[in-house]
Amino acid sequence: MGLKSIISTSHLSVAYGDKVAVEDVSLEFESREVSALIGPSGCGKSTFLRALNRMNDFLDDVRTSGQVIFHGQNIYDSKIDPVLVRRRIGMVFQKPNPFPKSIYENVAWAVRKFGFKENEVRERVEVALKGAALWAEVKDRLKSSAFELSGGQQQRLCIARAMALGPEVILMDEPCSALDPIATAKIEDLIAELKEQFCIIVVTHNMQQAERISDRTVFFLNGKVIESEATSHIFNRPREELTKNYLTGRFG
Amino acid sequence: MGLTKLNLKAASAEGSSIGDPSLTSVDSHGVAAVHAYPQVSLARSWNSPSGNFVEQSLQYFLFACALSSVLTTFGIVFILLKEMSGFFSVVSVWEFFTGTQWFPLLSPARFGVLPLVSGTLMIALGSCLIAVPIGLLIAIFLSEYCPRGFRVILKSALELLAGIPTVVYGYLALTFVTPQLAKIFPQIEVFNALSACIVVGIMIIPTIASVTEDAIHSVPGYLRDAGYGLGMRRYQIVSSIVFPAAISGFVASIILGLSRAIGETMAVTLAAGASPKLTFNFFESIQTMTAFIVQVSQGDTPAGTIEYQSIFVVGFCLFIMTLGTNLIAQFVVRRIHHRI
Repeated sequence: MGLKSIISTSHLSVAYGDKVAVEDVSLEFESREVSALIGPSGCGKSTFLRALNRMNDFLDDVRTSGQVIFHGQNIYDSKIDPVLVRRRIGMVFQKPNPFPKSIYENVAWAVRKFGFKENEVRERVEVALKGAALWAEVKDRLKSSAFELSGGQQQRLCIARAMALGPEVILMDEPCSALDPIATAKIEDLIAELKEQFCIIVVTHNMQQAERISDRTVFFLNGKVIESEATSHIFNRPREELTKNYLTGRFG
Repeated sequence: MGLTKLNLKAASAEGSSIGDPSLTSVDSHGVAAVHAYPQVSLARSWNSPSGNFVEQSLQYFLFACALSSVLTTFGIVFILLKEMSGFFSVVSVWEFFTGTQWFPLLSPARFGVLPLVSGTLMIALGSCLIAVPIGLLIAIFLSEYCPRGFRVILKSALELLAGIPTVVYGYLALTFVTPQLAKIFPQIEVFNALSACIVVGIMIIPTIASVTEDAIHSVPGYLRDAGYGLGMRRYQIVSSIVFPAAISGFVASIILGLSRAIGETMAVTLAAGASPKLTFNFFESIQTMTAFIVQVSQGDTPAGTIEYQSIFVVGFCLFIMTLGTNLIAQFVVRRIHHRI
């Protein structure tokens, strides 16, 4: 295990009932790095992502085996409180999902639940909104409903919301798939900036996006990792024939 | 060629005149070609095979059905108003709405409706006080915490509760609830408002629980995911995200329950008695508006008398109260939606 790696998996498998969605995956993710998980639909990349902060716990009939090591602890250990794990490993979802609250409250709510005083909450909200490149657009209407924002703004609000808690890892599950190209470009720029502070793991179905934003790319197929390499490497000289075929569009 | 034949057939079926039958011909190259389209009537006709007649008559029939409910409402209001005019030609409106005594069958008769209104409000509010918290907690448990196997049992138990005839609740109040209450509160009367509140409360729990559960259930899962993703605990998500998002359904359920409690007749007639009193003592016997209507309708009060007319007036007041609650509910729900 590399010294820099902040979160890693060891022989991680996830099954829904009889169907094995992720099979024996051992990977390491480093801080200040963007990793892209790519692969065709149903290859297990989203399931793998959700396994990293125990979001699969809410699905029925899910069995997880193997380990996810975070801060030297297996998060699937029975002694671990999954809620505390999720506070340090944030998540951004496919569809922007702001709460039916004001823009301010969307970010402030969870922060407040951690026991911060209101002036600290305000500060954190501002920092998070600035960090998510949203502050300039919303600073005059913090009290209005988050639903008044455009889809791209909503997604940046969701990123701000996750950032405000000061996580170490941010998981993003196809964060741009519901967005138009302009909004997508903004999120991609944002990811590049966030890399300075967080370990970011992005699931994407868009290979060009993976190439643009990531430092490392992991190619999933049928629940297994086929190849995990530096992005420039994997897109130029893939080691595996399967990777090459996928990247050149032979199958998808 | 086949296509053309089909068109011709359709055209004749529409009952329109068919144009030149020799629409297809063989061109100079000997290939069959369509030179012109057959004339197909697109005009409206009531007996076309596309079901125009069915469509039309169905539309009128549905309209008649919808109209019947409007006519019934107006009919009922008309009858109520007609009987009321007779009543108010004898009793002044002022006396009716401000009088604190209701003795329609005594002589001299007193027609102050406040004791009946207070009785109805006691039952409505008292039973909601019992049913709203319990119903809400059941709804939250059902939708957020309940294991799947137990959910089926709980839901059927609630449905069963809703299916028990109200008269059964009435005599349960009288023969079971009141004797139990008497052990704790010896001063309680045989007929009392408290036991009626308890059984009416139990009666409306299923309404409140199921309407609220539907509302909570319809809160999209991605909002819960968002909460979990932020490391929130389930109770925090339920109280700060899910419940506020479902609040309009919760308010609607309260109003439904309230309407039911206001209109509830059999259980309160049996349990709360028939002593119209302007009181807020739940240990005493009272009379609700509905129980009074039962009392007079069951007796041999001759039509056309002032006592007889009084039930129409009381009925109209009930109608206004339920209408009022429903309007308030709509207003509240709209305000909440607007805010979100």
